Amino acid sequence: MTIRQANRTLSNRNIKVAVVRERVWFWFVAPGVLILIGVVVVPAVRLIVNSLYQWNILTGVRRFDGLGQYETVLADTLFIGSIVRTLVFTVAVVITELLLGLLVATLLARDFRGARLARTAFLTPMLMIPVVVGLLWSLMYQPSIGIVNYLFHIFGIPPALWLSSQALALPAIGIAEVWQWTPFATMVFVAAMRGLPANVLAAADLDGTRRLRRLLTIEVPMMRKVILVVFLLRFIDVFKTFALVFIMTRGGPGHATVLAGYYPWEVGFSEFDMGKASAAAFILLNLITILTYFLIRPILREREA
Amino acid sequence: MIESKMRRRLHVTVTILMVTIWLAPGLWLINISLKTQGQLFVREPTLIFKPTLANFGVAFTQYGILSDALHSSIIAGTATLITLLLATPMVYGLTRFRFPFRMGLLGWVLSLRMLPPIAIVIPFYTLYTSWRLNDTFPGLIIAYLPVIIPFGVWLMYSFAQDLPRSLDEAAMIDGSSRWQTFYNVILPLMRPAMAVTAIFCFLEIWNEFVLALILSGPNTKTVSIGMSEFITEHAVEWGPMAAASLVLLIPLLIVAYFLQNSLVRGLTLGSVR
Repeated sequence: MTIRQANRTLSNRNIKVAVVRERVWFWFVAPGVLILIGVVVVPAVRLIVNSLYQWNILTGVRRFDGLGQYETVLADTLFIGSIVRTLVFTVAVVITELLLGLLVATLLARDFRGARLARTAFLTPMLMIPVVVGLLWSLMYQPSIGIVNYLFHIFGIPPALWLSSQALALPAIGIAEVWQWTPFATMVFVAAMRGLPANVLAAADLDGTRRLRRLLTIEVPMMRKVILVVFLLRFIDVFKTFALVFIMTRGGPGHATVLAGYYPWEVGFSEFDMGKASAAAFILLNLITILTYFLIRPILREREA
Repeated sequence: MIESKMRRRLHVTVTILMVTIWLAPGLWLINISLKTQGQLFVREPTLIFKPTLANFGVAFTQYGILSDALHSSIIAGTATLITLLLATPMVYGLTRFRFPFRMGLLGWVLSLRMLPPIAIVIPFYTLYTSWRLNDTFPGLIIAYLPVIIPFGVWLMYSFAQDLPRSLDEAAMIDGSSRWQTFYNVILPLMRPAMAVTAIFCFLEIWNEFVLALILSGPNTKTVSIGMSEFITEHAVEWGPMAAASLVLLIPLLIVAYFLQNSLVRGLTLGSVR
């Protein structure tokens, strides 16, 4: 046992001895927890019940099927494919956001006249309704009148089909996501960098390459924990991506952009197979919860220590 | 000295340039909002054209974007209020007492933040079909609670954690009960955190899409859904869409300008302050 661990157990024990008689904690926590249990457990039970039936909501035919729907979902290559696709998409998008966020943050962390205004302006995409972001980028990706292909044309690059191309549709959605949420990473990193000791920031006067090396060898290691938190937060959100897919491609072309958060919608509300959709949603729910519960714990523990 | 001044100027120029390029798609939205459909559908995008304000009129009158905003405000406002009422004492309880399963409870509440909305909306939809709660305000507000209460706890936890316990102790030595301490000492200090939490809970619901897509209807149409309705059967009404989204964006920008720092601190569980 290290000294730190020993200290921690010791201080925990002291606190326990000091406040053990107070029962009032219950009345602070209970109302919220009870309501939360109500709005989480009732739907969760309903989700599980739904998933045990073969149930078409269009025809209304509903028949008990045991775990049959789970077998159907797990045998569906589209479902498994959507999860793999989502993991790759999420990791790629989040890492891009972190890298770009760090780079932009080095620029915005310094004080200059209008810095605060520039920082706020940079947040704009993050404040936009995701539906609008989806629409805006759809227009820009439009093959014949879209500005992306127009810019490509100016630089002599052949035009692309973007959202109607099997290969490019998902990266195109990823770019929209990166555009909207890199500002979040930037905003957090700016705050973190400004909290670093002054002598570290003073190095900002260095020229390009030295500045970059300084960023990688000194600032990034010091911000390790913050970077981890941002990774976690973005991972959780990107994994659930729905609006961009719905607006930009509806899962197409083919099934190229069916992400895990979109799959149950397509099954339940466009094929009307609610049993299968529920089974898929339940699997997804557990997958995400398990994955992120273990990612949060180290962060919480560090806060508590 | 001169060199460093030049470098500073270079830095500012590069920064402004980079921010502008990043925001170009957003600025393009302004361009779209001032164009007719005909002006928009040309091969070479134009910067100089005869601007029209008609799109703003269409967005307000034909698409009723203000009534969507009203619906969204009712839903987001009520859910946010409930969240503050429940989450504030909860956060106090979780940071001030040691009790069995405390960390487990905290972990559970925070992990609810991971709930994929699609997994919430499917059971709510089937429940609401039998309870006739689809397309009603109570229905939507209840469905947002599992999303928004954990978010509220998430945002306020680090603020409550950082209020020194000596404040509680001092008040209690002076004879306050736990409730009096909470109400008279801690609550006033939590007020800024509560304001930030309120704004972000509100925003979260304002921007939310999946739940609204499935659970709302003509009577409760939210802003997100209103925006998606600019996609008509024949075409997307680009001009009015851009106009409406710009109008809705302005109040948010003003709020963001003033609340940046508190926002960062809340969202990262206090890892940055």
